[in-house]
Amino acid sequence: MDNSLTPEKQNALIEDALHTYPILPVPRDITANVMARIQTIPAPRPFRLTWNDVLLGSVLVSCMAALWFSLQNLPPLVVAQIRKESILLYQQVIVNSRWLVPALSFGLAAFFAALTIPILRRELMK
Amino acid sequence: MPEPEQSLIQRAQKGDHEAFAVLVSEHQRYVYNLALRLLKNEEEALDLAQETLVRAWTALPNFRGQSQFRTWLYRIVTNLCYNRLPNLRRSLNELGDDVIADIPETETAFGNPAHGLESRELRTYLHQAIDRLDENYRLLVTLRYQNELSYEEIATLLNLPLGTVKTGLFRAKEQLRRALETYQEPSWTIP
Repeated sequence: MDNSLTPEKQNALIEDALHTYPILPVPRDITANVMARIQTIPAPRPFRLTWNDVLLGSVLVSCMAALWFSLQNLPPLVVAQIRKESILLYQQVIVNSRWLVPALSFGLAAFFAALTIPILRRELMK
Repeated sequence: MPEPEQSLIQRAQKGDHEAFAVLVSEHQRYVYNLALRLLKNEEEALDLAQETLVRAWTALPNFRGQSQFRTWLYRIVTNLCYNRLPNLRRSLNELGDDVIADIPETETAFGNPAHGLESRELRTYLHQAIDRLDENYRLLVTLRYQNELSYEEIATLLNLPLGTVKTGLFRAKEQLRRALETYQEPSWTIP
């Protein structure tokens, strides 16, 4: 190698090679293929709220409002009854939690394991 | 007069195939090149370029114009390449960012051919050396020098820290410097 090749010249040579690294032409135009493939795909639709979304939202909001107003206007005797029943339910859950906690844990574990099945299937099908 | 890209994108987002065809014909070369440089196989690169553009069509409504359209396409290309080159993502992450803060750029910059090589052979030799770089370095070099993205754009595109991008490019140049040192050709001299 030539001794006159200083680090600056090396840098210049490398930069030159990087900047002149060629962009190759596409061997064949792929526009037709791409357009043929997207013909079968429905046209992309930008995100828009539909009337169904508005209706569903209104129903949910109405339900929550109705629940809140009902709770506000219940007679004190009924409120006390509900409170008593909830305390009893809570006590019952605590007593049975010996089984409830493991059952919930296993249930959640099974649920998350089941979520991986489609991914695993896709990987195996490759 | 050609239609502005922004207008073509908006039309394509509304489902205009003709506008999308224009975008495809304008960008296919760069998409194909990035795929080719990474995969090093013409047929695979063509296949991946097509897949990229089909995915771009389906994802077009999500394109908000926060980056350039071509940068967005490169992101799809690299994501698809991660599936085909399982070690690429890991090798990029393992680059680290402990080498340098800034890469010194020499005078040979874009649009300054005056400092170009006299020796065509040496240039070809270096181009071959670029082809032989590891895939993570090839990706960074292609994005920086062929696709002319800034370090920041590359970092955003690959979801890497800026320092990692700079380190990767620095190491790529170090590999090229080593290749240059092994070049034994007594007939050529530097002007």
